[in-house]
Amino acid sequence: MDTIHIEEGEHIILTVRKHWLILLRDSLGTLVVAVAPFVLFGMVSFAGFVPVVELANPYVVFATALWILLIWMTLAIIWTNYYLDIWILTDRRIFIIEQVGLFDRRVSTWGLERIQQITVEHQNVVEFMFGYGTLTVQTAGLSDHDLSTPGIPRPERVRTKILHQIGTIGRLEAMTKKQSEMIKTISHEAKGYLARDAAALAEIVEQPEGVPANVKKLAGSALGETRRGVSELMGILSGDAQQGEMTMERIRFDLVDTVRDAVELARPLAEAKGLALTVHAPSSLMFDGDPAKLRDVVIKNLIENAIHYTEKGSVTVSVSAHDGARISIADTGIGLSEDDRVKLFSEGGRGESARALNPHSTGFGLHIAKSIVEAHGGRIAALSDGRGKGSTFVVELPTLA
Amino acid sequence: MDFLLDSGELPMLLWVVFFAAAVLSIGLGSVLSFHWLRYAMNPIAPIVAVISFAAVAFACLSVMFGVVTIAG
Repeated sequence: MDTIHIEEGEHIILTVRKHWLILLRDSLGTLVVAVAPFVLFGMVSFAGFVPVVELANPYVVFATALWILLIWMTLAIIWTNYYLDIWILTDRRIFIIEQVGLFDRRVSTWGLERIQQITVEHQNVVEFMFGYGTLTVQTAGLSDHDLSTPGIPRPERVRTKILHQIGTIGRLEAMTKKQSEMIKTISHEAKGYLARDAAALAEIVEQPEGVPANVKKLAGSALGETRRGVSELMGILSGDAQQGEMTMERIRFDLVDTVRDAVELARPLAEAKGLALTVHAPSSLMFDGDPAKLRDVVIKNLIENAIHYTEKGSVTVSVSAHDGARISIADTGIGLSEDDRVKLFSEGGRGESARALNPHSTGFGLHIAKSIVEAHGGRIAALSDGRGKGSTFVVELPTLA
Repeated sequence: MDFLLDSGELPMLLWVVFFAAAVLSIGLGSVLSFHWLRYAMNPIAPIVAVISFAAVAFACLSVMFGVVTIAG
């Protein structure tokens, strides 16, 4: 590895090159050798041991030009070794790049979380006077060794920056842990309330008589919503999307069956709104992936979204084989503007009219769906001819190797 | 040096040294330029380095070439 790769979202905090005195020290020998022949020649000529040669003598000019060229090339190599030796501190890692000779370039990377101790040492009075020294980084882990770099200018400042960054990472980790725990606590509480609501609504829906039909229909719709809420909270409680870690199952299953299951789960919602919900699919299409996540978080979510944002008409779900599988959910609803399409899959992103038509939407559903599809190596896209012209959500899932 | 001058071998030797120096400076310059342009973090530094190296090397080689031509 001879180049560094800064990750997305990673920021360079400090770039450190060795002290200029190191370059001077390394070049000094060459410079002394460079001027030595001229000094010697001048001295012996001055002392009269040899006759003063004409400066215009072509052979002396040739030799001088050759000498200067050789010295120049040596200095270029020394400067290259100095200039390409570099320390880079980012908000996540330390990169140490060492140029050894012309062809050997070494890049070491150290995660800040592994650093245990940093010491600074001025080894002599010159280092102390010119403000440079040796920076030693001690890391955790049996396979690690201490990293000691001499010639670092103002090493105390570098140490302070690294320690500050390590402190920031620690604080962020603690904050994230706290937030995660809080989300889980709240989700757990909310799940309890929703589960009790669902039980009450189920009681109303399942009453054989005595409940007016319109109330039953309303309760059925509310029951569907409540169960969806419980399912989403269960997802949060199981860790997954909130922590940026997605545990994916990978089994062979029939995608058409999964799509039909999702359609049937969403059907009560469509019927409550008087929408036609149809499926066009081959008899079977085998696929490798996580059927539960694709059904509950992706397909069902997209179908329910289509129903929410369609006042009249239909929602059509199609499945076809397309270098893997292609699922499309087309509706005759409110459609999407160009702006909607851009922000739709972002965290908390919703279309312009989404809040009015679906006040319960958190805006995270499509973002999570996108994460699941991408975890399967696929992609998700929203297509629309514009506002009021319906929309089509397309999920393409490749055949996994 | 006199015997070289007398034998007429010196111009040939100068040509050999000149070509060797030219090949060395071009080869080394190419390797160093590759490193500077590929790895330097500052976009200006490698350009200045390439121009400086090439200018000094060109000046020295020009002088050497001039001498070889006159001597030849």
